Amino acid sequence: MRDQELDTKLKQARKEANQFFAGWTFGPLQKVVHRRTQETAGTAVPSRGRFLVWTRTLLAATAALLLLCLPGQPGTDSLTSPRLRDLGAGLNQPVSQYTLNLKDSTKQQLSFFRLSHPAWPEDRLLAVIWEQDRPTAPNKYRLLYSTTFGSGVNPEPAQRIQLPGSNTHLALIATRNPTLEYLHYRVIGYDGKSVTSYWEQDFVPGGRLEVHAGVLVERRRTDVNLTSNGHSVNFLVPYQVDPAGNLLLPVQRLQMEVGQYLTFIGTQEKALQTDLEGMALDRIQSMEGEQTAAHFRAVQSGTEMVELQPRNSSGPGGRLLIEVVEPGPQ
Amino acid sequence: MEKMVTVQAKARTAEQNEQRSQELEYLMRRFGDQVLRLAYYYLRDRYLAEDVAQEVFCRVYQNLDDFRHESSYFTWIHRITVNLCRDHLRSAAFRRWIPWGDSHTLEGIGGKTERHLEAVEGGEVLQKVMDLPVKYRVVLALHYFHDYSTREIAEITGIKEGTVRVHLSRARQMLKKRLTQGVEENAGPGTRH
Repeated sequence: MRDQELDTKLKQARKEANQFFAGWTFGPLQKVVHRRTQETAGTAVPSRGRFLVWTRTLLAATAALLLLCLPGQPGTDSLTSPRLRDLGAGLNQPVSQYTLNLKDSTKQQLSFFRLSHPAWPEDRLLAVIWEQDRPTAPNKYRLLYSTTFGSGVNPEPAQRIQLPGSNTHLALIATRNPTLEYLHYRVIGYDGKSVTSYWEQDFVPGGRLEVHAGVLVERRRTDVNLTSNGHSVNFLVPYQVDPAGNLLLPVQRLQMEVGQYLTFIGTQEKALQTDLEGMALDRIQSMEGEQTAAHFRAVQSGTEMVELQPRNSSGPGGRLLIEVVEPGPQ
Repeated sequence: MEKMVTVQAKARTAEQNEQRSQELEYLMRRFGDQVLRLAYYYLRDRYLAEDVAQEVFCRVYQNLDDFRHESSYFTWIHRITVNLCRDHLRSAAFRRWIPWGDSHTLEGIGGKTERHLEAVEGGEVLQKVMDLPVKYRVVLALHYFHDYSTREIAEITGIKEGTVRVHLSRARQMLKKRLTQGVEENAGPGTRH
């Protein structure tokens, strides 16, 4: 390629950049900056490092406080512990609560609390799952899980996700920032003793989540035409491995459109090995680290059999039939 | 008497705050979009870029009184942006924010990148530019997309002007190579004679 050709390409890239940035301005953020500067006027803004340390400390303290204050008897549909209610002054009242039956014959409570701090432009949300420590002390509750969500968010209704053949269930916990249209969510699972994270996403632009037959369908806004309508769709298929080593999936077959994504979500200990038989799916990335998943993208119409085998299991594994079709008219 | 002095001091502080707010307002209107784009070139994530851009102007507000006009507002604000972006790139916290564990694009490792589901830059050539290592894509974008001179880029990024020229040259070479590879890939093996 000659230099002249490259210059032409760079001019094209410039146009593409202008197009890409068009409509994305700092204007809407000015108000946020003004609010932050007013709130912190006369005080030093903590550095990000100290800020993170402070945040962690606050969360740890809050969780500890909750543990101390939960020995009252909760109601089934709403939190009625008088001691917790009395916390209103120091720790904000729970803004929303749900009863989760993560295992048959057990009940867990999910509570959302608002957290505020002068350095935060907006309140954050702390979600806590706790359950009655029934066998040993009926009036005591133990913390199973806690997580925080970004600023200015409101809780979305929690949903339980059931996998056929399993007596422990998953739950979807989500919050949304109505102004900036971010979705934050967690998919968590319960093994009868503890809660583990299956999947976590923050700041999903224009995010929408639906649960169909145990499969989560996540839609998010994209800035380019990954799909013709400016949204991408990801099918999140949770899986579990039962004590006998059998792989449990919510469905046996799934229909996707070209350009959509498929992700298997599970726990770190039960990472999957996956094999593809056809050409309809393209493997994207197997992720190492906190989250465990296998990612695929539907690249052409046809059928695909995905063979799934948990790495640390000698069980029979499982398979999922994928039918990929061309996108329908928008 | 003491009370009167306190009232006067408070009024003076309020007046100063108002003045600073107006100045901030002007600077945000003047440089807000540039800061946003610069942060994006570094972080390649629009939501993080927005976060950084907010932080930039909070710092501007805090330090307005100390600003000595030894450099222009342009350079000063851009330098704050660059420093904050570099902090982000260095921090472990930032790596956690990258969805799907794809930190390679930020570390400047070449090759095909997989940025599925995350916001991807529109346009084929822009995508190739953004796939360049961060130190190359930033200078290339500032120079060719925003007409910044090599001297301005040097002031903003805090590197020597000669180094900026070297980065520009290497960025061009790298981009050329990648664009050529792209053409060959698209052509496919069957069409080559």
